[in-house]
Amino acid sequence: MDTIEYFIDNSSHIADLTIQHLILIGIAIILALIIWVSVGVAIRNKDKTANTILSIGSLFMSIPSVALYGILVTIPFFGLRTRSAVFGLILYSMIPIVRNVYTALNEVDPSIIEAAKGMGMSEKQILKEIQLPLALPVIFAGVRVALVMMVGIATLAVFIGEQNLGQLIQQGISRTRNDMVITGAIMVSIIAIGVDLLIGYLKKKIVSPGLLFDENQGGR
Amino acid sequence: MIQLNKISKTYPGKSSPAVDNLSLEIDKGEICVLVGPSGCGKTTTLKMINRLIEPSSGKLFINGKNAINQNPNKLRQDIGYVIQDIGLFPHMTVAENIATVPKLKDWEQSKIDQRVDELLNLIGLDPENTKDNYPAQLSGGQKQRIGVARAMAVDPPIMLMDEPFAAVDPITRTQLQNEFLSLQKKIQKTICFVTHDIDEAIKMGDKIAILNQGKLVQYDTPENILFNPKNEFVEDFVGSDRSLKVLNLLKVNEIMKENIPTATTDSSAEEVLEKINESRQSYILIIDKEEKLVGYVNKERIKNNKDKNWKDNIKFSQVISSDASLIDALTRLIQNNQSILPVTSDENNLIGIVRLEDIQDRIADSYQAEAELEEPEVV
Repeated sequence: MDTIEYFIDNSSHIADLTIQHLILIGIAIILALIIWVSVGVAIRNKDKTANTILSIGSLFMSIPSVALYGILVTIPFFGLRTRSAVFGLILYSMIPIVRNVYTALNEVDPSIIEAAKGMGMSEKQILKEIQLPLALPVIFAGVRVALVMMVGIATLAVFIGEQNLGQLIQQGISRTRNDMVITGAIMVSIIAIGVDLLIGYLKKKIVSPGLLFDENQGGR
Repeated sequence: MIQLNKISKTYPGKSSPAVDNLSLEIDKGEICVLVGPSGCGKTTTLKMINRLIEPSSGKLFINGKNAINQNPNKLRQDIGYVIQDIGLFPHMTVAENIATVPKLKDWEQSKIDQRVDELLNLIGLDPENTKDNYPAQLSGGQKQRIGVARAMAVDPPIMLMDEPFAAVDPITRTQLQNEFLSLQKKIQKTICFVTHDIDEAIKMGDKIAILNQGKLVQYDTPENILFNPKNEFVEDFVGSDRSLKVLNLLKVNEIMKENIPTATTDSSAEEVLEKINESRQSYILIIDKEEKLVGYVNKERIKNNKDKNWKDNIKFSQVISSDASLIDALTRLIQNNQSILPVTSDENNLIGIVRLEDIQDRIADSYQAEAELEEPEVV
């Protein structure tokens, strides 16, 4: 029951770290969405460019996070702490977001696009009013993966000086304090689950009910 | 209304044109059906009218105006477009789908709402129950009707329909075709309709354009296509059962017998029997006080079940509407193993009957007509 004791004794410190953790992934996901959704939209009609971009994304994905952070801190503008941490997270979220946006936009039923075009909608209107709303469920799936991954990878940012829940785990391991490790791990898991639930909730709110019939088995 | 003048289309990388020097004029209020084997260029021709495919050469006039130098999106907003896969937007409700073009044209919301209700009533769907549904909640036939309603939203004078009824089952298709024909009587649109099915072409078209390898082979009325095929290709395409196909053209009201003997539900068994004897048939049709059809009774059945109320012997009968085609009537007669088919109005009032023998006479007549037409060739 050391863990509970530790938790109670250090609750304000843990709360601090949790907030730091949330701020980090919050900034990262907002920037990632702005950048990667735009990239996904921009490459939707360009198969060759898309292939190149997606391979670059996979490349980032295959670099171990500690190594990536290590590289980033050597770049003058990024340096230690937040900038590098955020940038690293953005790079990791590239593949799940860009790939899902690109695939989802291209998988919209051609007859729907043809109907829209035939009724006199411009390319922009089709993108905004037809393709993006139809792509939302798949885009949400990508964002969900990206966010859950970010929550985990963010813990490793402690190695470049970030203060977050990863600190509890890292310090706990080096001081063989199981209560710290477990507290950190549990808090990170709770955030991951919370983020997952939040995305699920947003999906229900934002995605048109017309697209969710398969999931709800025909009910409203 | 629609005028194609020496229109050609050659796709990049192809040596032969998909549509070759095609000229065609579609008059106001007419249904022109483009028909031909696959790859004949019919869909390409249709899509050049709303410039989803840009012609390689030639002129296109819509309502007297050169359509080639208009803004394509503006042009398309004034041309209704219905495709085989319908392409309803799954993330929008029925009402939102129908409102697509009105919204593009910046109509006021109150005007849009009114138009949506009006259109849903026109296609026979209850606005209150359907307008907030999503496409996934609709049957194939309903989707197709919504597709047509959406194309008519801003009341465009011209509609293009690309195999609009091909994706539904045969029974629904017949129903949709009949509905659309009676709708067309009210709306009087200029329609260009693509199909690969010659029967559908004969049924739907005021004029039929038969295409082959990008060229217009014959452009004529269904009657002339059937009985004066221009060449062997048209003859083969129409098929050897021309006389049967004529039944697509003929309506039930052309051979329907009116003033037929009936009995009412408030008569006694004796009165009914007497009426049957008078009519020299073995049955009689039963109507109620408002002249609505109830069914029919057999003489034998009344006689054999004298102790029971004669009304228990009334049997339900399949019916047909007076503007249905004879081919529909024949199909229904054969499917239900009946020799007569009562003709009723939309309100189920009895108008007359169609008899199998009259349809047979009609087929025999057309065979004769065909033989006469072919005679000169023999001589």
